Amino acid sequence: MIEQMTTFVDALSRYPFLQNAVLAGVLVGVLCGVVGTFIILRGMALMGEAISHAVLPGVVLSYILGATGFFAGAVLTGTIAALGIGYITENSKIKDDSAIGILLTGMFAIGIVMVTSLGGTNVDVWHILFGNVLAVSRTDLWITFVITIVVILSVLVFYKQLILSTFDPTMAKAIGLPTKWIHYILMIVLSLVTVVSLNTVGVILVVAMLITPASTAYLLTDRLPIMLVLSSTFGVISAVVGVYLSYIYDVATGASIVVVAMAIFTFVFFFSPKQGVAIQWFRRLSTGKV
Amino acid sequence: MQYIRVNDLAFHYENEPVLENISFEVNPGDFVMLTGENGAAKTTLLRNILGLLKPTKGTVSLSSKNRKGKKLVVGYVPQQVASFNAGFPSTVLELVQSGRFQRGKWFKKLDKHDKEHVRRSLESVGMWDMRHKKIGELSGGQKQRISIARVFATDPNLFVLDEPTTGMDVHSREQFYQLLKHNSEAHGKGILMVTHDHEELRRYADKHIELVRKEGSPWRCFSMDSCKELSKHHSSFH
Repeated sequence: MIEQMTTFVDALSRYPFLQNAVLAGVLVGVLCGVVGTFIILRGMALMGEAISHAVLPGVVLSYILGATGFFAGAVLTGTIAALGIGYITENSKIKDDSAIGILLTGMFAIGIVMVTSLGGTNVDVWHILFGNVLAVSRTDLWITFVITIVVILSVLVFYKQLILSTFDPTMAKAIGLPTKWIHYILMIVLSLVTVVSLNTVGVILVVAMLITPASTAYLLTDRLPIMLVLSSTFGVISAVVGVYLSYIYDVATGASIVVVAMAIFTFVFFFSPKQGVAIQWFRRLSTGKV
Repeated sequence: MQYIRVNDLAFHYENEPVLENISFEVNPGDFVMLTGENGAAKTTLLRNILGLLKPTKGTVSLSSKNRKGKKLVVGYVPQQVASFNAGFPSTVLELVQSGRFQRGKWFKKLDKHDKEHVRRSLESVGMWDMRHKKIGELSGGQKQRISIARVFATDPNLFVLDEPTTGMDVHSREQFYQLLKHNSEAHGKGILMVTHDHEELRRYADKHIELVRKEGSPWRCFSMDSCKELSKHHSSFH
């Protein structure tokens, strides 16, 4: 174990691709931790899943047209999906979850059709779907860094609007907060998060980075600021340990990161001091209630 | 000036007429109670007034200014307080403090004056001692009380209250009505309150609006200037 860690630290000090991978993981961990907290508190986990899949056609289109429109393409199709889901539910008797299911699979299928129809291009579908953190460039890192800072600053500036519209949407709307705009801006942010997480975990697994660390934090605290910090911390730990395991055991990096996030969640689910299932069972056992 | 002016409002739900011929006003200093049987579309009417639903016909104007010419601040207590996200990670104090955001504190820190307002609001509903409790740990009645505390913390010019006393005992209800009456009389606040306690509230309210209908037709507004005259007019309507 110590030998493996020494090997990893040694490689980290020598190889820029590994440094980039760890830095990208850290940034994505923080970004997904913050955005994911609001996603799960607003009950939008399924929406997160839909948007992350819906960016695929935009990403593929950007690959075809050249990397310049990379973000624009992804945000465009992500936003189309968000608007489409709202439009279907408002103009028919189809409910939210069904509309999400239709758009999620539909947009994703369009993306796959686009990729498979481009046999001779250099679009690597595996990397888009599951990430390739070891191919993160300095430019990618800078873009991820700027988006992380912009998102965190926006959350800080509009913190009160976000918490009121999350906690009590009816009240927020009644007092004149633009709740619809807040919803759609969050959808655009989700599209951006998906794109910057593309190399790290890929579009399939990004939803895990949004939901799992935030849910883990939710089991540990009843205070929003602490939840935001814990969620980001778990995101960062998952990313760093995930990259380490991926390097040492030569396994897919994105999946490795998500497995670590899941392991932390499982541990907290059973052993968190207040809500841990096992802890509660032991408590009942010690008081003779089992 | 009127804080609320409803003019010949009609509302259809999926082509089904629900409300019709609704016209009334709420002025600064008015304490107006809105009653009607269960299912009389009282909440629907409030949601039309607040802009949460769009009237099919007629107009609703909510004043943008208060009687001092500043931005009108509206305080709203929805009918089902339990519908707020009780799983949200927040304490009672933080939730009631959110009532001050509307008072120009969206981008500023709460000052001493704000905190004093919050303390007094929590004390008025007997929840100051529970201020550090998590909202997920509260009973339905306690949630109702903190929702009222939040609206008092806002110190609005216009209160829009949808059955806010559900689950309160007689003593708490009387206290609450007195507090509202004081706000309307001494501070010129406008109050529009949906209630089923019209017998109790009659002593405090200045106006009574009742939603009534004939079998199979939409709910119509039956407006009174004085509660005391209600029974006489009410019988003549039928």
